[in-house]
Amino acid sequence: MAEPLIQVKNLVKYFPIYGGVLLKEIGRVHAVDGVSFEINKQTTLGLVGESGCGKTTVGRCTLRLIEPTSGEIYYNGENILKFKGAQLNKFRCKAQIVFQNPHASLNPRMKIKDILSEPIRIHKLLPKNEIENRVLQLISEVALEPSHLVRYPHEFSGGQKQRIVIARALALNPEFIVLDEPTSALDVSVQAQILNLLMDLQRKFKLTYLFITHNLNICRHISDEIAVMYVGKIVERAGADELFEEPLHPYTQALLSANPIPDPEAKRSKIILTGEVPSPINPPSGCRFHPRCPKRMDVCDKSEPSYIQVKPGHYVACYLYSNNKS
Amino acid sequence: MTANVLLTIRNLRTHFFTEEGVVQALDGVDLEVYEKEIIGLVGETGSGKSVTALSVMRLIPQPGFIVDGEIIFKGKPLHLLSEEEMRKIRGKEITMIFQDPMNALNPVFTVGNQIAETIQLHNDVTYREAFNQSIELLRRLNIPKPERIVNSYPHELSGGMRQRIQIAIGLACQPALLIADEPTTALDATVEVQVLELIKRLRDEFNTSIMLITHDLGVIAEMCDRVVVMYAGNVVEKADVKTIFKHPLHPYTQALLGAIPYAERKKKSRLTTIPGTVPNLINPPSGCRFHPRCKHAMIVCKTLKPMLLEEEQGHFVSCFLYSKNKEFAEREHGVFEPLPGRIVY
Amino acid sequence: MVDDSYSKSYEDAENFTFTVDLPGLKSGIVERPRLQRFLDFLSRLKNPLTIIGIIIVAGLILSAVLAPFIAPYNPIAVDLNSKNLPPSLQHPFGTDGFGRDIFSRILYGAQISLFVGIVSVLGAVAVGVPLGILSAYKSGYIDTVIMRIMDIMLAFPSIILAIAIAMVIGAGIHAVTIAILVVSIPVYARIARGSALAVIQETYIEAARAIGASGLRIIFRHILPNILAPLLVEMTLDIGSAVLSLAGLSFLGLGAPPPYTYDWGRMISDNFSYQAVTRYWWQLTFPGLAIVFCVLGWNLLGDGLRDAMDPKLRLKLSKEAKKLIKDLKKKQRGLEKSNAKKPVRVVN
Repeated sequence: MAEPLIQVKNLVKYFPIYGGVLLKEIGRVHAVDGVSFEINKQTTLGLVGESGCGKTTVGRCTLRLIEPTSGEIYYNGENILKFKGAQLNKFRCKAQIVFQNPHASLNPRMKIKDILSEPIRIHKLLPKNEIENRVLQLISEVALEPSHLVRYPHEFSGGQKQRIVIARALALNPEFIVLDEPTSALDVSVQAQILNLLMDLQRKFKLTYLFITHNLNICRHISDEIAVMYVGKIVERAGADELFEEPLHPYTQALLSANPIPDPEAKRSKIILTGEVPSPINPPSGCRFHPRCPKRMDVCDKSEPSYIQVKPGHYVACYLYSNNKS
Repeated sequence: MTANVLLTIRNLRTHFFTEEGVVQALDGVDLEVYEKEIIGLVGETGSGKSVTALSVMRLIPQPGFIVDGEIIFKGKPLHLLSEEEMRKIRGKEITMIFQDPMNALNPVFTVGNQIAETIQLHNDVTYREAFNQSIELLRRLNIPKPERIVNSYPHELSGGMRQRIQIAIGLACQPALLIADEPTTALDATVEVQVLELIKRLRDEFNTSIMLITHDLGVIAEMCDRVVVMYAGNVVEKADVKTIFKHPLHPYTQALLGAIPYAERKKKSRLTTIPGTVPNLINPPSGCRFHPRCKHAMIVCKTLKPMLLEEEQGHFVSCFLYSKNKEFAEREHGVFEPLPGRIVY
Repeated sequence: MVDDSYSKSYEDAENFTFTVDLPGLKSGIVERPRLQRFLDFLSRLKNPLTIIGIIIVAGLILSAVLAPFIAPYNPIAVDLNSKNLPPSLQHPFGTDGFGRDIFSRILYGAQISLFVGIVSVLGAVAVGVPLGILSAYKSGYIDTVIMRIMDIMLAFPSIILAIAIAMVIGAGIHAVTIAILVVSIPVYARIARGSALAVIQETYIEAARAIGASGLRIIFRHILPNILAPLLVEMTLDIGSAVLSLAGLSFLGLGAPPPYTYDWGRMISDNFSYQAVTRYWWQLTFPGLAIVFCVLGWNLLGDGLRDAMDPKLRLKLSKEAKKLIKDLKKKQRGLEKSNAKKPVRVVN
């Protein structure tokens, strides 16, 4: 069962910044800077982090929508970065993505029917006469009416649009879906509908999810494992419950304490961090969290802590827990 | 409730007259804000929480108008004031901060310039004095290095800092009421806490009442004294924060609380959902606007609109499931019409 | 193999039944929203100026099509007995120095104007738009090369180009059309590139890439339909300016060769003499007016289309709202007075 479907090793993505008169490269955005993780089959990995931490870039790189600068990404043991032509096309069938903003993810000039059948047509998965039935099946899979098929996207609410986006992702029978903040643009009651739908689909079609979000509550609810990112690096990864009950990295601790609890009587001990998330153009030296860290030590700004396993299945990158204090 | 009432809104109706039809954005909103309290307005998109705030500020965008109701602030009927009188109140007595701080700040002036300008607008001081006051204000708000911040432009600051500057501008004249429309939605979790702590301190230090508009029940639970739950332009429930979370009465509030995943809930369990979507307010459902999505809907809900009545001490709910509305509906055999105009407590 | 994987992963999905009558569904629902949207769009064109534009353009098209049937005289028949006649019932716009009926010539002239205007614009769109989208989609040095070439073309005056083309393929309508076409290519390339750059930012383009769509498919299915609106407006406006360019080039003698002497610009040029300016005013005025109305008509139509397509300009106050403002102001004034007298009663 614990067989990894996706393995990411040392993923790095720099976005060059061009400037000056001659448009020379004057800097780099260190969007993702050495990220490694794996996702087991039929499980969900939650990727949590604040804006600009590179979580979206990680999601796009694992689908090869963005070419990573370096690193390796294995899908079922094959390096997808070496895929070309037909192989890449086959991978596109197996790995799909659901975006944050449902309003922008659907072409406004296409009917829902065409949107849902487009992936099937592109990959010629089904003969023409079967496409219609497949589309009907897809639309009922996401609990929409068949009469919706002949409408245009602007006639739908945000939640319905997100259902259509999910149906499109399902059209190719994928095994792996990247969910890039699929509910953050939706209302609370609709968000619950979508989360329920995603959990049902995962069970039904044995899907593997990479769930990218900034909302810790949702992340804990849906994920089996959670990885916390901070300025291009994963600082901690553990099982969802373990991470919430025993956060090790000071950043995780602060993030969890900052998470608003919808219970007025819950006891709160807030760790209020000073300062803001640093820019990924000029990340701090050493541990990237050290300027804001309440438990900073001398070594923290000098060299980077290594990302090690401190307990079975619990990884952390912090000098507080590593023996190799130099 | 011995505290004094600062703002009373009675039967407020704000409609938008668009080409497609009249959008009944607010359909009889009743609420009051006491002095020195943080009141939370919570609801989904289209529930009318922002329109309520804009109506109080009299800043409703174009085809929208207050068609009925009263807004009384410190004894002054805001809905009847002329634009000129209203301008004196805006910024000095009531201020509003918005979700997106970048759009709310003018990009071509320095931060200090903008705070000083607000101070000068409402107080008779020279620019130098106003500028010094703005540095002092930032210091009081615990903003680091205020001398440097005042000389920077909005784009040089981070999102969290811009939001704090916006709050500082809002506070420049020490208003009695601060309306914060989703102040932390655009911010990161760790920065959100900083801004929320700042807002909390305002109440303690500046004695400002705060109307906090948000869709995040977590923020409500942490910040507010009282909560107003809105749905499709109506107040459905109003109570102090503990009652709302521990003992919600209205089916919508109950469902909303069931729909949020949080740590204590069993993992991967199904969340409570509310079927359907938020109604279109051009053609809203008859009777109680929540009835098409409500699991307790009765026949009476379709025909009559429940009134917002006090069910327990300080706990108002607008639903036919509860005693006074229920009695009323039964006694009148479902033919009574809710009294137009104000509701007497 | 394809069918296998399909049935395998959907074993559990069998309990879903579909009881929908698909043909009925298709015929019943497909067309209505589109018709409705078209009607909505038409209703937004109800601006008086736009209607004038529509009338002028419709008149132009009618006169071009019906010229052989409604023109009272042959436009090129020389009748030296009736030269330089002022406007009269027989010759509504008078006659020129060779006795040709100016009214008939103007009707026929609409053919040339429309031909040159529409063909040059369509040709420019056909070349410029794909270049613009390609430039936006590929970015990098392809973008730079295409756009610099467009810049060079933009700097090229149409007159010199027309002369050059006329030297190669001979003067005439074709040379003028090609010259105008070539000169307006960069305009469309730029508009298409700008609009496409905005559309490419949208998530649905990335979604299309995620489902494995090819570059051509993305350009034609996803980008092109979404940039049509600004292009259509620009095309309408450009037909007007193409007519103007044609008039200018024809006036300089680069236009239509005989027998197509009834081109409006050429009519002005041919009739242009000291005598025409002083005595035969109708020989210059009516062709000139034809050009003015033609350009004006297309421009009004283009502006109307732009307004109708701009969602921001759609918000208009209904009558109900206007009445309400009046009422509110009245109420405000009345209550302000009464407030001044008695103290305000606070509810609660």
